[in-house]
Amino acid sequence: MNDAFRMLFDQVNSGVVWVQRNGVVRYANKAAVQMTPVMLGQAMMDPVAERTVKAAGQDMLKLPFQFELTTQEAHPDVIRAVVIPAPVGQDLMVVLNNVSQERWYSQALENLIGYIDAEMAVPIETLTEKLPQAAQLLHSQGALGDIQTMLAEANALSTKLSKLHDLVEVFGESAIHRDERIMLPDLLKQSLNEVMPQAQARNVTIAVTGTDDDMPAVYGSMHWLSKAMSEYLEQSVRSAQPGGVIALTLQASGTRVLIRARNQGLFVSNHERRNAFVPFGVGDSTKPGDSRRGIGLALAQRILEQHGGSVRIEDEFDSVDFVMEIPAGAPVSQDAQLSVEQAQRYAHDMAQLMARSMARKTQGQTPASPAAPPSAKSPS
Amino acid sequence: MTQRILIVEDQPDICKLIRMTLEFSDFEIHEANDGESGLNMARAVSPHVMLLDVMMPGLLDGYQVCTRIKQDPAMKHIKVIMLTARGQASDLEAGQAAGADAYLVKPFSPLELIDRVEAMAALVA
Repeated sequence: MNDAFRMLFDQVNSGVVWVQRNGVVRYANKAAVQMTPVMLGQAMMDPVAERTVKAAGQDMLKLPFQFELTTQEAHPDVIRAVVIPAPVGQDLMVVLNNVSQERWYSQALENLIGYIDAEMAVPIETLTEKLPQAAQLLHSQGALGDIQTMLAEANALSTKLSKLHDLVEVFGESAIHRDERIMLPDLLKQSLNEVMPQAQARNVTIAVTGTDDDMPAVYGSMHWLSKAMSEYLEQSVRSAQPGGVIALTLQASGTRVLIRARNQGLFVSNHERRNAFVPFGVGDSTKPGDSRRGIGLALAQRILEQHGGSVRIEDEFDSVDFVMEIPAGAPVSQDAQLSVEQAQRYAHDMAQLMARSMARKTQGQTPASPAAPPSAKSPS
Repeated sequence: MTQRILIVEDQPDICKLIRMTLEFSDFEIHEANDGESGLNMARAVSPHVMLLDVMMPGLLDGYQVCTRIKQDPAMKHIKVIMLTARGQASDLEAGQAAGADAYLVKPFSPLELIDRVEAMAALVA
């Protein structure tokens, strides 16, 4: 095997074992050695791997051939292995990936979500409820600088923890209640009021158009869409250049409503774009010591997804647009339970409807023939 | 004279049940499955009574369709009965603000529906 291949395989995270057709190992990278025992000049030591490679070398298997190994540990990891032809010659390669490690990361994330939801929700709510009482106490006993500072810090903590909990909640199992009628201009104005201090602090002007009365209504959770809108506006303001102008437009397009925050003269790198949608990945100031001021667009994106919408970043020649898209009107869904209940009401009243129809017929009127009720869908 | 009824309802099962109920009387029935087509059909057929679902996908929901009908001199005579699964006081108020003539909460009684429609149609005729 030449040096170029060796250098390439030493850089990858997957385990790579290069074997001759008789099963003898010619090369194994570091990742492979960590996953399964191998020695150069010998067959792979794992019996399953040895048998599989020999069978492949004898053309008994169709390549690529996938199988599983386990590590030689007290709590073994599962290794997903694939036998493929080597890029040159008649040799074979076994590519190894630790599936358990991947599962560990997803499990760890689930654990984090579960922990935050279970352990932090109540303390946050308690703190939030007690803060106004602390403020009243402050007024009655005279202003003390330390208490004021503490209060401000507690408020900041409460805000951050609440956002964290919001994120956990929307990524968790709790379904978003989705039938409140929401007029987006009203929602936008409310969120603008929240984000205005941040915009003023950065000397950013927000010019709003399209908030007329003809905008379609959207249906969903006022509580969650309000949070999504605030997060989205915060991110737009955070990304704007100090002293810049954000052109915010609200527009109905097809069956959707678009909210577009255009930052003139802004450039967003792929790195920033990617990080904007990863929880906790944005908000870092370039100045050391400045705190994170948000959790990016992950919260907004998740909430919008649960409403059938989306949040995205679009590049133009000389501007960057933060675009929020929401389906206009009610969600397209068949309320099976309601259909069943309505069919039951029809069945219940049908005898009286028929009797009424017959009575009219005898009086010389002309009723139409009744039909059988449609087969309502079962609740899913 | 046969009275024209327009059903604007996005759920096919519910729409069919309404049609079946109304077929016990002598109406000319039209259907639309969203707010925009409902409004266009109202202009085209000028129904005596319109049964209008509140929550529909698209650019116009039931309240907005009702508002436009009641603001249009050519259509404001149309009697509008709102149909909805939302029966809270705020929803009823929103219906009144839009100019609705009546409000039925799903699941509704077919007998009540046909009585309401006949009464409304008699007012227009």
